Amino acid sequence: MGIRKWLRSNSKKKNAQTDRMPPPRDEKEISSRLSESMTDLQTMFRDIPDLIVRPFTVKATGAQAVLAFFDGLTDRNAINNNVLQALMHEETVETEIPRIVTVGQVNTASSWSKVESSLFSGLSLLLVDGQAEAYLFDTRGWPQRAIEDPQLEASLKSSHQGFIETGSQNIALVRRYIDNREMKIKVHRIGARGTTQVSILYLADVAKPEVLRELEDRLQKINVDSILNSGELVELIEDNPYSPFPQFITSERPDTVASQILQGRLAVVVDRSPAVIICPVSFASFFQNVDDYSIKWQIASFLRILRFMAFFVTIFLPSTYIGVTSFQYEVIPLQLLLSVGESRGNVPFPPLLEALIMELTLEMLKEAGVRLPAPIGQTVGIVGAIVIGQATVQAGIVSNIMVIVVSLTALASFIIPNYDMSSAIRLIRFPMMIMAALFGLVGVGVGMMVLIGHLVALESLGVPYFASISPLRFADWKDTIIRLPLWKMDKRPLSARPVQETRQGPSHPEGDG
Amino acid sequence: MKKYQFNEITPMQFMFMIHGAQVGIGIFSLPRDLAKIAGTDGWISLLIGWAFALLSSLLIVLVLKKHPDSTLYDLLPRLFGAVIGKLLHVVYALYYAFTFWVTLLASVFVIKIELLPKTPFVIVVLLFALPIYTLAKNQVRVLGRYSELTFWGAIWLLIVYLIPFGHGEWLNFLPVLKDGWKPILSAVQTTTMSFVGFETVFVLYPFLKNPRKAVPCVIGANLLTLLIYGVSVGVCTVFFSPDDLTSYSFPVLKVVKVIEFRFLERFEIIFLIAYLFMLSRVWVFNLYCSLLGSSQLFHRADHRPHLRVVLAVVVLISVFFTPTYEQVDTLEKVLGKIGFYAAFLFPLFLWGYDGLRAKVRKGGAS
Repeated sequence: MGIRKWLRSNSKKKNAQTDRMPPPRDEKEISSRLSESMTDLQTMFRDIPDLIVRPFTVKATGAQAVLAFFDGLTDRNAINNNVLQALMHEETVETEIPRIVTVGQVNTASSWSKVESSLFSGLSLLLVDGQAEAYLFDTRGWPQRAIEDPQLEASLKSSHQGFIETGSQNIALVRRYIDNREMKIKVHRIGARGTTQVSILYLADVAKPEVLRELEDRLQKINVDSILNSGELVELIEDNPYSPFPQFITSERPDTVASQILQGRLAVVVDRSPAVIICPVSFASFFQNVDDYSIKWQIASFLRILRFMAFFVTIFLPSTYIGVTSFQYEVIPLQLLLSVGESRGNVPFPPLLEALIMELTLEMLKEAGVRLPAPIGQTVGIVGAIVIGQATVQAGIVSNIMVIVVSLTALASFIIPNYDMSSAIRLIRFPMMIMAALFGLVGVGVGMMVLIGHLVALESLGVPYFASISPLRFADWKDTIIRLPLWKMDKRPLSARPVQETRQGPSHPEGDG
Repeated sequence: MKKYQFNEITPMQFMFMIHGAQVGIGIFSLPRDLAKIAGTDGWISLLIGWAFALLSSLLIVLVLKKHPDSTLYDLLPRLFGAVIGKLLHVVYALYYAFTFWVTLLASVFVIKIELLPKTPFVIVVLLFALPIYTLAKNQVRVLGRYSELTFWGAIWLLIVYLIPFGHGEWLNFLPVLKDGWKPILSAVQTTTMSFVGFETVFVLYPFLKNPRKAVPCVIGANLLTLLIYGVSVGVCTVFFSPDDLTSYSFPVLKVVKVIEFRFLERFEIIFLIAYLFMLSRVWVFNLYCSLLGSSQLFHRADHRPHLRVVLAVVVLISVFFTPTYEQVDTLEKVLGKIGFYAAFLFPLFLWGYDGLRAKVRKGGAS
């Protein structure tokens, strides 16, 4: 693989350049003399005007002190009322600073490097004359969004809370579902310039230690400037980055994450990102939705089968149409063939071109609608429906049947509940169409073979992508292609690699009732 | 330490892989070839051939059981010394590669005749090189999953194939043994050849997660193959008159032509395309066995460079060599002859040799 080698050598070269890295953190100790520390502080944070430095005298001890914090990253109320008020005016017999300040969390630091990272994460710093230790108060409070309905994974009957951009809040949202001591959190810090706190949530007695270790290994190998959102992190840790298929699920729903953690999977909360990563996952989990569990199981099973059909329709319908119309038209009966021929009669393009025109138009319509504000977005729909659908047929550019094929494909691809998966299969259908145009149905068959070959080779954190289908495990089918009643799912799915397999005891009344 | 433990396959996958390596393009002409020699009694030869194949594959398992955690390639130098061992190693790697090449060629030939008559031969080979590369570049565990998936995914072919039974004439089977045993026995040679493919056990055995299940797996794989061959021979026998049967080159496909739906005609096209998945298993598993041998020969952990070379060579040969029907037939016959030595005689010899060697060693020690 020439290209791959070339890419690798390039990335190596980049790593070798040390000038990319930020200046090393100051390992200097904090001086016990306030004036010295002040100079250090000022040289460290030169040209950073949003750092507020407030000198004052501690009333209880009479010592000189300086409070420093970042404007905007901190909670002003907490600083004014619980720190400054307490230290400057409170009459107490206490002389220890942590006993005077009325803040929940107080830490001490003796090195400037810790002070620096703490200040940036929203803590406030207190330097007291005569003490070589600095106090760090938890006064975090930055602008954040209120909790809203998740946009990408809207649900009808399940909860309407979605994750937001603050990691600690997101963890709290999950904790509301799993109030158990066994849910542990491992924290990693990633990024040399913009440090991102990445927390792995898992059930210690259910999740497999090997899988956790594998994930931590991959996280530790990351050496980048910063992780801006969880999509970037996924790209850095997934098993096969060359595959168009998502190998981790990113969800913005706390209940989804909680249910996956309960099954023994790991959830990775990336601070500053409203999407939580779930791994390891299997192919089938991309076709599931939380709403499946809040409706009757027969309906949920039907919907799941519908989604799997949609998967095949999206990938193979346009290509099969091309294959049949350009090569194996003897497959369709004469009556049908006649109506296809009639419809295609005055279309000047070969089937592939005809299909490409329509499919690309569809993709454009979709992409145009995504980023436009809702009022303008509606016009896109009208343009799509009337202008493109009707007018192109009347103008004789595409056939009626092609419009049907394209609309069906679009519908089918939007049924897939996971956005990454539905994008992947929409992309896959283009190479399939080209294969069909070159080799007819044989091309479609070979394309399917390549697709299956690729999918069976995929792994998510070392767990086969096609777990429960191949390797076959019928017990897991209770919650993959169909959804059986909840009380039947007494074992955790093997694709999550749980240590503790039994999920629940009998929870349904026995007998006729 | 187990050498192959990161690539374990489940007993099910092991079974499907052996079965997958057996059922290939030969099935299309099998009923005709049998009818030519044994008339309507071909099914008896099929049973006998199956018994031979089963016996031979059990011998392979017996030998490998005594040498746990080693493929044939690991075993050969240990049993025969460095020089002869290496030589046999090369012979087997070449044998698997040859099997891959011939089966691919024969499959492409059929596909080209039936579905892509105007496409150049080399282009079709190139087309099939795509899935072969995607699959064969992976390790055994992935191939195991593929075999499992394709088996369940293709099971409907068998069910659909039962439809023509209803249109058939069951009396065609009678009289049994109308020409005595001689034609039946002479057809056994053909039937044993169609079971060839089980010798992939030589390579796959150490990857099996639970080696104790090897024997039932091998029996199961051969049974599955027998079932499929049996159905196809049976359907062709009841469907065509005994004389008719010999006049078609691919009677198995001809049968499917009667299946027709209101919305779908020429069902054999769909059938053949779906059958591609079965064919791909024969190519890929044999190719993988060969690649494992060749990469081991050169002490390489990665078999992908060899895969690229092999595929390039196969495509290159096809540029200059477009086989005719006779040539494909000859190649298949040659493969059958070699297969007889590689899959039937050698395991027997190996079993005897290994047993004798163990006895001599024991005798020497005591």
